[in-house]
Amino acid sequence: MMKGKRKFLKLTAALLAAGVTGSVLLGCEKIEDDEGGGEEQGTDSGWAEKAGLDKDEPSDELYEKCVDEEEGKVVIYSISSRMAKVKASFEKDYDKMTMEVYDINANDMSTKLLTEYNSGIRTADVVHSKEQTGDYMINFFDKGILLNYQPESIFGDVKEEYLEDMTPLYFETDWWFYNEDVYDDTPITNWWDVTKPEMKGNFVLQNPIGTVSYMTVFTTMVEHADEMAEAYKECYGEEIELADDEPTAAHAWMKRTMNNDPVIFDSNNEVIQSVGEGSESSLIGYSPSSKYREKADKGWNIEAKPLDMEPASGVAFMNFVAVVNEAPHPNGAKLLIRYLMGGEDGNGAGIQPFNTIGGWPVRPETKKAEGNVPLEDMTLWMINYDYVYKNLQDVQDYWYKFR
Amino acid sequence: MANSEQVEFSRKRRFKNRVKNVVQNPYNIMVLISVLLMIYLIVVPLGQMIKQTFTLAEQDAARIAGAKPGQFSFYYWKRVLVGSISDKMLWIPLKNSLIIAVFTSIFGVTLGSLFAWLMVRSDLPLKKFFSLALIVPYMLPSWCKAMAWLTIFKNDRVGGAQGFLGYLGMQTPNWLAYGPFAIITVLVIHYYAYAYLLVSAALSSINSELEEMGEILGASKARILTKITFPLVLPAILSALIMTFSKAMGTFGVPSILGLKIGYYTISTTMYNSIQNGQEKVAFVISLILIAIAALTVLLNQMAIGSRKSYSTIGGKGSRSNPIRLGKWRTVITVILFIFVILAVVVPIIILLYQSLMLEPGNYSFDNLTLHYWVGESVPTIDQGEPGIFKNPQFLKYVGNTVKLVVLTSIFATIFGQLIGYINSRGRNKASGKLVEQLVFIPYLIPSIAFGSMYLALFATAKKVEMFGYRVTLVPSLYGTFLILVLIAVVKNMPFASRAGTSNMLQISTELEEAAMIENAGFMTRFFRIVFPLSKGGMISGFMLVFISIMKELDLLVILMTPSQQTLPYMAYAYTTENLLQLSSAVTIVMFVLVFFVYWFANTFTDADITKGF
Repeated sequence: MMKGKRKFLKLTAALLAAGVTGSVLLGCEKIEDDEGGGEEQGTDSGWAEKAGLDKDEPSDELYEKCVDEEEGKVVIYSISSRMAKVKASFEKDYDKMTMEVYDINANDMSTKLLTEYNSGIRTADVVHSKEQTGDYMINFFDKGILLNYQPESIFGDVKEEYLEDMTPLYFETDWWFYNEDVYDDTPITNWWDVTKPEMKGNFVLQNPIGTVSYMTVFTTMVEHADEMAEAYKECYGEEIELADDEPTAAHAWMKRTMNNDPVIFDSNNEVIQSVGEGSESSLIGYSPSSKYREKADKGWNIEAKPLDMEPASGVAFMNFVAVVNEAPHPNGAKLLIRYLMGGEDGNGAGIQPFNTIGGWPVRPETKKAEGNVPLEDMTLWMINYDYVYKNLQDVQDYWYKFR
Repeated sequence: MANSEQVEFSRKRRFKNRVKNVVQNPYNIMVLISVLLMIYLIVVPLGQMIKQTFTLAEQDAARIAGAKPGQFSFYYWKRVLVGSISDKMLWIPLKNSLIIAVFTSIFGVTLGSLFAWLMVRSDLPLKKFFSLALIVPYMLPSWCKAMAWLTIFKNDRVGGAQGFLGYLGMQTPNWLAYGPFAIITVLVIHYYAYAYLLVSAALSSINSELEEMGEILGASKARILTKITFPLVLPAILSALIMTFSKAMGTFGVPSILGLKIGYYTISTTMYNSIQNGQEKVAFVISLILIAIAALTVLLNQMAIGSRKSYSTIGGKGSRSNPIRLGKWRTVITVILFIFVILAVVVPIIILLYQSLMLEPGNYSFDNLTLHYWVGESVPTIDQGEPGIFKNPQFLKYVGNTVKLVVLTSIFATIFGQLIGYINSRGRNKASGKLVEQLVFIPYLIPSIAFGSMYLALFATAKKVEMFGYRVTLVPSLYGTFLILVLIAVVKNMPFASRAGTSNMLQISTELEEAAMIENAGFMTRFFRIVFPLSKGGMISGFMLVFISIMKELDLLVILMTPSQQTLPYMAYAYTTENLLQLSSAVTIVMFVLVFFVYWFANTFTDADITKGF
C-alpha cells in the first residue's frame, strides 16, 4: 500500500512538472472584455508628443534630463563602424553619459529591427541606417515604427526636400576605386569598361546577391537603360547589339560583366582592401565612397575619379537617423541626434567621422571635408523608390541567371 | 453464475491494472512528455516551414497576376526546381555541395578512422599528447581555418596584401587557393574529428580477444584488420560518414570564404544569400531539399547496418586490450602524425595568434608586432577607434553572454540527453523508444541557418487562439529573450546529447535496476541512486560535446540574436567582415582558450573522455 501511495505522489509530481513546462511554453490568459488588443502596431503619435520629438530643447538641457531621468544612457543601432568614434567623443563631451553602440550589417538591420519591434522589444533609442529600396519608408516610417526628430535649431537651413520623409545624416554613394601606385590615372571612366577583354578577372564586387545596395544600383541602371546604351556607343564606338536574352542595354551590361569573370567578395571591406592594400593590386573595385577614408586610416593606396564616370557614377544613398517609437531613453535619443548632426553649430565632433571624402553631410553650416568632390558635381542617379521596390526582384533574377 | 461474474470481475480488474500500469509507469510518462515536447519544438516548426513554402508572401504576390498574399501557391517550389534561374539557384550549387560532401566524408572518415585505430589499437607512442592534439581542430570554428588557409595561399586574384607564400615569392594557382580543392581540404581537417571520435568509441568497446583469437588461428595482420576489426566498427564508420556528409552539405563559412571569390557556389551559400535578400521562403524550399537528401542518406545507412545497430554492446566487459605492434612502421607513422598535427593544429593557431599581434595586416616583420589589439586603449586612427578587446566593455559583456549561453545549454542538453538516452536504451524494442529516437534526430538534418530562420518565423510574435473563453498562447513571443537562444541550441544539439545519453545508458545493465526493483525501489530512487551515479562520466563527456559545439556556434544563432545578446563567435565574425582581422583573431583565440581549458580540466580532473560521448 505504501508503495502505491508513493508511486501516486511521484506520478503527481511528474504531471506537475509537465504542467509547469507546458505553461511556460504555452501560457493562457482569460479573455478580458473589450481588450485593446496589444498586438497591433498602430502609430502611437501620443508617445512622440510625450517624448517631445516636436520640441527644440537645447542640448545642455537634454543632457541634464538624460542624467536625471534616464540614468545617462542611450543606445544606437548603426550600420557604420565609425559610430565607435562618435561614442568615444560623445562620452568625453558628456561625461555622465554612456552610449551603447551596436554595429549591425546593413543587410540585416531592417529584419532585425522589425522582428524586435514586433516582439515588443525596445532596446534601441536611435537607428542609423541607409535607405535603399524604399523599405524603411514603407515599412518603418509610414507605420510609425521610426520617428523623425527635426528641431528647427539644427535642421533650419537644410533643404526642404531632404527632410520630407526621413532625417538625413549624410549622403553617400559608390565609386570605382583603383590603386594609385599601380595606375597613374583611373583605368575606368565608363561602366562598359569592365566588359572589355583586358578587364577579365580584374575587377571586384561585393556579392550583389544578398547586397541590396548593389541590386538597387543595377535596378536603377535598368530604369536608365537608354543612358547605358549611349554610354556603350561612347565606349566601343558603335551601337549596342542586344542578344535575345538581353532585354535592355542595362541587362546586357550585367550579362557581359558576369561573363567577364568578376571577383566576388562577401563584404565591401574586402573589396577596398583588395584594391588598395599594398602597391601591386591591379584590381579595380566598386565600393562605398566613404571607404575613401581608409586611405588615411589604414594607409591604403586607393583613389577614385567619380567625375569621369559615364553615364553616371552611381546612385545617391541617404543615411538617416531616427528615433524608435517608444524608445526607453527619448531624451538621450534627442541629445544623440543633435550631437550626430554636429551640434548647435553643425561642426561638433559627432558629424566629423561622417564628414570625410565620400560622405556629404546635409547641413550647409558644416564645413565640408577637404578635397571632397561636391555632391552636385557628380552625375548621380536618384533612386526611384517606387520603381526599385517593384523591379528589384526581376533584376536580381536576371543577375542570378548569369552569375 | 458466480463463476462467470468472477471472470468478468477479474477481466475488468486486469484491464484496470493494465491501464494503471501504463499510466503509472514512469517510463511511459517520460515518453509522453518528451514526445509532446519534441512535437512542439521540432515537428511543429518543421511543419510551419513546409507550410510557409506554399504560402505567397506580400512582395511576391505582386509579381503574379491575380494572386493574393497568403494564398496557396507552388510559386516557390517552381522557382527553385524548374524556374529560369533554378540551374544557378539549385542544381549547380547542389552538384558542388554533393562533390564537396562526398569527398569530405570519404577522406575525413578514412583519416579519422585511421587515427582512431592507431590511438586505440596500436602501440603508438605519446598517446596522451596525440589524444588531446587530435581533438583541437574540432575546437576551432571551421571558418577560422579557411581564413588561415587564405593567409597562406592567397594569390593576386584577390589583390590586397600578399599571402605568406606570395610573400616568399610563390604565386599559387587559383585551383589551390580557392574552390573545391581548398574547401575539401579545410573541411577534411575539421570534420575528421567526428569519425575519430565515433570510431575510437567503437574500437574501445571491441574485446581484443576476438582479434587475438584470429591471431592464434594464424591469420595475418591484414586479414585480422579486414575480416574482424573492420566489420565490427563498420556501423560506427557508416554513422561517421553520414554525420560528416550532412555537416559538409550544410556548412556555410568555409565555402563562403573560399568559394565565392571564383564564383563557386554551394547550396548553403545560396541559401544564406536567399535569406539575406529577404527570400526566406526560397531558402526554406532549398533547405527542405537538403533535409530530404540527408534523410535519404540516413535511411540508406539504416538499411546497410540493419540489425547490427546496437554495436556498442559487442564484446561485453572486462576486456583487456593488447596493443598491436606497429614494428618498423612505428617511427614513420609517428612522424607523419606529428606533421599532421603541426599542419592542422599548430599552424592555424599560430597564424591566428600572429595575426592578432600585427599592427599592420600583411606585414610579417617582427617590429610590426604589438599588443594593441589585446590591451590597447582606443586610438582614433586605428580601426575606427575600436579599443583592444580587453579594454572593450562590450567584449566582457559578450564573454558573459557566451558563457551563460554555453553553460545553460550544455546543462539542459545533457540532462534531456540522458533522459532521452534512458528512453532509447530501455525502449530499444518498443515502438515508443524508436519514435523518440527518430524524432530527436530530425534537428540534425536541418541546416543550422534554416533552423534559425524557422525558429525566428515561429517565435517572433505570439500566436494565440481563443478557446472556451480563454485566450491560449500557443506560441509565446520569445524573440529577444535569452530563452530562445538556449531553446534552439538545446534542440539542435539534442541528437548529439541523446546519442551520448543512449550509449551511456546502454552500458548500464538493466539487471541493476531490476535488482533494485525487487528490493522495492521506486523509479526515482532507481534513477537517482543507480542510473545517475553510474552515468556521471558519460554525462560529463556529453556535456563537453555540447559545450564545444555551442561555444563556436554562429549559423544557428545569428538570425535570432538581438544586438545586445551577441556572443563571441558573432563578435569574431563581425570583426572579420569589418576587416578588423587582428581583433577577430584575438577574439577567436579567447574562444579557443576557453574551450581548451574547460576540456583539459574535464579531461584531467574527471573521468570524462569525449570519445565516450559517442
